[in-house]
Amino acid sequence: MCAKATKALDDFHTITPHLTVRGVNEAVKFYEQVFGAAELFRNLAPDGKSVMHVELLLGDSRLLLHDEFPERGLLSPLGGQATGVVLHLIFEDVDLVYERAVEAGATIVMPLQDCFWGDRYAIIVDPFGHRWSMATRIEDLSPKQLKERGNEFNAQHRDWTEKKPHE
Amino acid sequence: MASSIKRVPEGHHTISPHLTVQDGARIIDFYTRAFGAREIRRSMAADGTSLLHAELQIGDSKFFLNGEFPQMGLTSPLARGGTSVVIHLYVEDVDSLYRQAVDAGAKVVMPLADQFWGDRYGVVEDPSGHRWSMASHVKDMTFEEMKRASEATADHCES
Repeated sequence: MCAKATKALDDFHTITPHLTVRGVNEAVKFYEQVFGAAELFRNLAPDGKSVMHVELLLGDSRLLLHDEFPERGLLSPLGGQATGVVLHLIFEDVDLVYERAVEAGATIVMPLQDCFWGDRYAIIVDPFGHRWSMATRIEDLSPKQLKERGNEFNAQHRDWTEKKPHE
Repeated sequence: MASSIKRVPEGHHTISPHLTVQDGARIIDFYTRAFGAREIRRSMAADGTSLLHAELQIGDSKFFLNGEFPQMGLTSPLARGGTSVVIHLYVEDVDSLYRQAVDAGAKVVMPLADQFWGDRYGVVEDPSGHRWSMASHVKDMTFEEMKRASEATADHCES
């Protein structure tokens, strides 16, 4: 028995996202190419094709994926199951990852920019419909500075919470 | 850019989920009671009631929240009719976490049980429609053993 192949709980953080993806094989390629992920383990469904489970290592974090199984209600964003989760990634060099993501066909939701909270930050949608934010810290702010910057931002973005006239 | 800046800030992992939730203040209370989450910071929008951003921590992991801002396309799974991302929690004592979550009002999606892959595992849904799986590892298995167990389970399911 190979001890290294043992699934070690120690390798997992408390929180790990688990994504339903249409076309896991392609997604794994994308996550490897763009985010530098590495595949650790996969399990196929009885049809020998659908991927029941893939475990990836992305930086210091695990990422779990499986294919769509509509009969069990497991649909991806491409299958019409929009998501209310953005997966946030922190890198040493966000410019590099952002460039690779766009080249690999990601859709830009928020272009890469220096943000008020001290991060260089962007949001993309990957070709499988999942949303990713990515950041590199560029400024260390005290809680007080952060609060002031937040208040300024709030004052400039009242439209976020204002009701439209016809509502 | 000052060289002293930690480009990956202390205490942050590479991946952290960022959830759009309904009724931000109440859901923070829920996460505290259900999952033992610790609130690190919160910031409210100009209207004083909408949650602009919150940072919470469960165990060694951070996660972020924002309220719904439909004008910005930010809506929770409740408004979207489901989710395609499950937030998985690995903890030392899943039985007590599961009980705590259900007591706090989480809806059971998959009851806690010992699973073929060596975990004691269950799935619940929070009041915003986000799904959380939770597990404790109860049996060490090699990837080869997991594969065989999975095949045996699949055979069983098909018969």
